[in-house]
Amino acid sequence: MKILLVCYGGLSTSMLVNRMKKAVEESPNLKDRGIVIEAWGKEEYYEKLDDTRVIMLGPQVSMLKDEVRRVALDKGYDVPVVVIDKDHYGAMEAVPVLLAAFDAIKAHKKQG
Amino acid sequence: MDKFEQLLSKWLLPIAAKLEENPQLAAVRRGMMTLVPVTLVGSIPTIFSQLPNIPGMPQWFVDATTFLGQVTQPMNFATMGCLALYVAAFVGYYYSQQRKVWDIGAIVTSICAFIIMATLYDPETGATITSYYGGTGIFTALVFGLISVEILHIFRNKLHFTINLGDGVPTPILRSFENLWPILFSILILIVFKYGVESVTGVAMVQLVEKLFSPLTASVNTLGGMLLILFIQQLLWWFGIHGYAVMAPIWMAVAFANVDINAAIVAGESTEAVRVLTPNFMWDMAGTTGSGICGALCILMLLSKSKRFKSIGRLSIIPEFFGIGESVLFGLPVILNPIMFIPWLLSTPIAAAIGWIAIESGFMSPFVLVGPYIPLPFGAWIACMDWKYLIVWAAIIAVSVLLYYPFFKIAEKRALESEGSKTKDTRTLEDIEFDF
Repeated sequence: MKILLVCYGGLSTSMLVNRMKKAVEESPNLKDRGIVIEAWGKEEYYEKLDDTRVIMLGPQVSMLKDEVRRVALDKGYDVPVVVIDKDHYGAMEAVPVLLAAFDAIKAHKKQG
Repeated sequence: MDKFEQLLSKWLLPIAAKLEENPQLAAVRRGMMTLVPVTLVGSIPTIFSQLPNIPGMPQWFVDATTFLGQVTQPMNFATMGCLALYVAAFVGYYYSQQRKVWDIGAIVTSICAFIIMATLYDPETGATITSYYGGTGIFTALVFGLISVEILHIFRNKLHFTINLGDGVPTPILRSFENLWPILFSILILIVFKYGVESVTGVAMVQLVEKLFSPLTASVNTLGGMLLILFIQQLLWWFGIHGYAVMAPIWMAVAFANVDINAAIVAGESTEAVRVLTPNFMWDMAGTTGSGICGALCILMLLSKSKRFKSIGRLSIIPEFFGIGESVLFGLPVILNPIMFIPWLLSTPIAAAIGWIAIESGFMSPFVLVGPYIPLPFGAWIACMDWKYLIVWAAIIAVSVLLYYPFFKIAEKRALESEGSKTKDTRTLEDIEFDF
């Protein structure tokens, strides 16, 4: 299962991804569940959708939310698209971002 | 603030994104950054040639350093004297990664193209003149490094002008045959282009390129032009975009060429005006401890009453000495934090202005080489060989602390309030149920 982060292809989001990967690695609950976390720029992400369960946008690309949701649907990926909380992104807090990711997946599943 | 944020993100961010993703600019940026080891080697003879000038040294010291200066002198032409040649190679290499062509083929093509364009011939003796291989040829190296590899890419990947020897041939041979015609065509096209343009204009290509870029060089070399660059850089950072990476291609070629000019002035070979803008000026004055003078924030965090700030300050202090401020940037956070918007925007431009005045007024020497990447402030100190740099550096940090102080206090008050009331999400990763 993949958590896909989308931003401007900048360097900052990759820092967050590294922290999230580390948090997953250190959590006994998460580490062996095959969780993949990747960050891609907004020009590339649509080629990297395989196995994606949730797409998370950096706050600086929040206006892309509808477009990303549509592009993913066109490619056959009915996955939730959420904007990362400004404060969590700013402070690079991995755990709340991961919690938000799984919350989004669950909420999306409930909706059917 | 939110309205303003939305307005900015509508027009500024798409432009920044284009600049950051642009493959040509990315190749230029990486190519220029790779110059550091080259300039490090080149700085050795410059250091030796300066040491005999230290007053009050014994005669044996003067003799020894003068001798070492003479022995190491060839290192200077091999590095600083051929700086643009390295730029051509590096840009060719990084652009080959972007365009997915054979890296060795791309380097061959870009070096060849650069030498064709940058070599002048003495009209009487026909001897080669290599004066443009140094800093002044960097723009030619960038332009023709990119163009030559682009042509290679078109012939190789778009038009498929290749010779395929099939399987059973060793890869290096296979690769060079695949790229044989594209490399040749790229060079032939450029040499015809050079002949045509030079016949029409009567000016050598390398001088034409120099003229073409002179408006950029001139404006980046002014205080106003540089402040504008730094202002935009800070604005981008605030949005979480790597502002340094976006803006660096604009000033870097000029900055590296300026080091050359300053070194010539110090050596008494040139009477031009001293250039303020150099790599070390940008790294160790305008952007010391990271864009936005993160070190000032780091000091404030170390002294903070907030536990969270204090621990971020402790974590950040070592990286700060290498000019890396990201942990402060994301820890405070500065990113998208309205409280920090104003001081953040002003910090680097103010630091640059202080440095500019210090150098322009002659208070401290300009940077004459590119300092090695060692903990600050020592790299820049070596690069200007003037202890007064340390005074200016301390002043920059002190002014930045004062600038941030009132805004930091507001941020600290908020942090203390939120530390008091624990209404945060208390779940941990262990609480997640995998029922999906």
